[in-house]
Amino acid sequence: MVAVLLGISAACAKQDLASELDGVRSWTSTTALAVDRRAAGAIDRAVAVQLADRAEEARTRSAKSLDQLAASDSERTLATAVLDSLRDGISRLRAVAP
Amino acid sequence: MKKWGEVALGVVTSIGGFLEVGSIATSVQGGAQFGFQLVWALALGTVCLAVLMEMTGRLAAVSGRSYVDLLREHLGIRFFIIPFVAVLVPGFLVLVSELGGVAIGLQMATGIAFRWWAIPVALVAWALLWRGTFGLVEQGTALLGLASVIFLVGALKLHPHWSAVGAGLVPSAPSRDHAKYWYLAVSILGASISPYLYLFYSAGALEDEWTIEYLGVNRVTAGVGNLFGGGLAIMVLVCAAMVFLPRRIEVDAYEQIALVLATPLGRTGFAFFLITLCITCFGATAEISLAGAYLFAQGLGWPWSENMRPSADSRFASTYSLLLLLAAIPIALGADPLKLTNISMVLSAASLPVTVIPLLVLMNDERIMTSHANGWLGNTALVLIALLSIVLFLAAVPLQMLGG
Repeated sequence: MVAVLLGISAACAKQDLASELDGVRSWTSTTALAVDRRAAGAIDRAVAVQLADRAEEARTRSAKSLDQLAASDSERTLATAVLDSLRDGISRLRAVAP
Repeated sequence: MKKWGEVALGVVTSIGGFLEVGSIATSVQGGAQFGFQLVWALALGTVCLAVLMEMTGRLAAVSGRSYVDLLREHLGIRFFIIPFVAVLVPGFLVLVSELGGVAIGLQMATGIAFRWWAIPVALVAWALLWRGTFGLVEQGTALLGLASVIFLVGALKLHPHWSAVGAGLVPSAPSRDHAKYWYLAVSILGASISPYLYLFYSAGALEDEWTIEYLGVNRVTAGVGNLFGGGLAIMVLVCAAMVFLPRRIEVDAYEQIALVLATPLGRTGFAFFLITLCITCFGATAEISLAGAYLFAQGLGWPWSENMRPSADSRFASTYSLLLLLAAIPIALGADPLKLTNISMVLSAASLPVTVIPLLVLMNDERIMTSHANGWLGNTALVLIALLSIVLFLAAVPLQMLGG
């Protein structure tokens, strides 16, 4: 039953450009918050590294999806900018969690 | 005087034991995406749980039998198979999620991947169940779980508009993402009213040797304890709404949740979050393993008690041992704990009718309940919960597909 649910969920997962971009922006905000909290000494290095890794995974996943979802040049440009922003966020997070 | 001590301990146990992986994850996700709009789901779930716990506790105290015993004896073994399977499957998934919650907490604390923690955590939980008593398992972990009060401190530090939090008690339609909103509402209700919670409570009443004299203790424990416990879950949602919503952070991973208390309370908040996650999930791991063993033992007529030596109730002890071992496998293989949590909460919600509706029958059977059968108020509440459970049953899977 669980396998069926997982399968159906994956098949029915909403695949639209806006929600995919929101997902990437969410991870960009997460990295920014984590950089701030790490700089303030509020979170450990281990969590900062794990967050950077999860953000990297999300970026890789979304890059593939966005490649298929972006239909026009303007959409592709927007997708690239949003993905670049997340890449910068991940780099900053890795920099404060050496 | 002794009874009031038990009342206080029961209330504290309910508060400390209320939060677990499901309530933390779904409250954070709800707050992050919809602010205070889903406070009503937590409040409704808490009231429903309090009512169900009071009734299953009263049933056990009056009849001297657990709810599962009575289900089998009065409704027959053929019918019993349905709630047995309906409780066991989501209950097992919740157990996997709780074990995953401890493992992910340890991963955040140590940097060692969560999958490596699955077997050690299962072994420690098993040793606690094998060597410990019911009181140690229930009260020991719940008292440590009082660390979760840190969410109240975090919420106070974030200075939310309490009138806006209060307005969230009234259900309102979201302006966007309707499917996600209702999916999270069902998940929150599933996390709040998991059948294992009141089945465990009913068995616990017998472990603690409750009789009719304990009906007052039962009422206060179920009512006041859950009221404060549910209040803590609302504080989790408030923290997430204040920290994540303005930054438009959608929570896809437990690592993100670690930031929820690090923002208002700095390092202390972060440390307390990890402690709370590990302790509450560990307590729930032990309790759900026991609840699964109670379900098998009471359903199949085996001797059972956490207060007996494992050699005296070997099938009961073997069952919780096996459940723990099986639950560790998906986590050791790297299953995503947050995805598992979301799915198990929805399945818990879907399984509610088969345990709630029979309770209506048993609570009105005067052969069992004598003069303590439900009055009109109790029946009205139970009918409303039964209707809600049917709605959840019908809505859970479609919402999992659309909003999950």
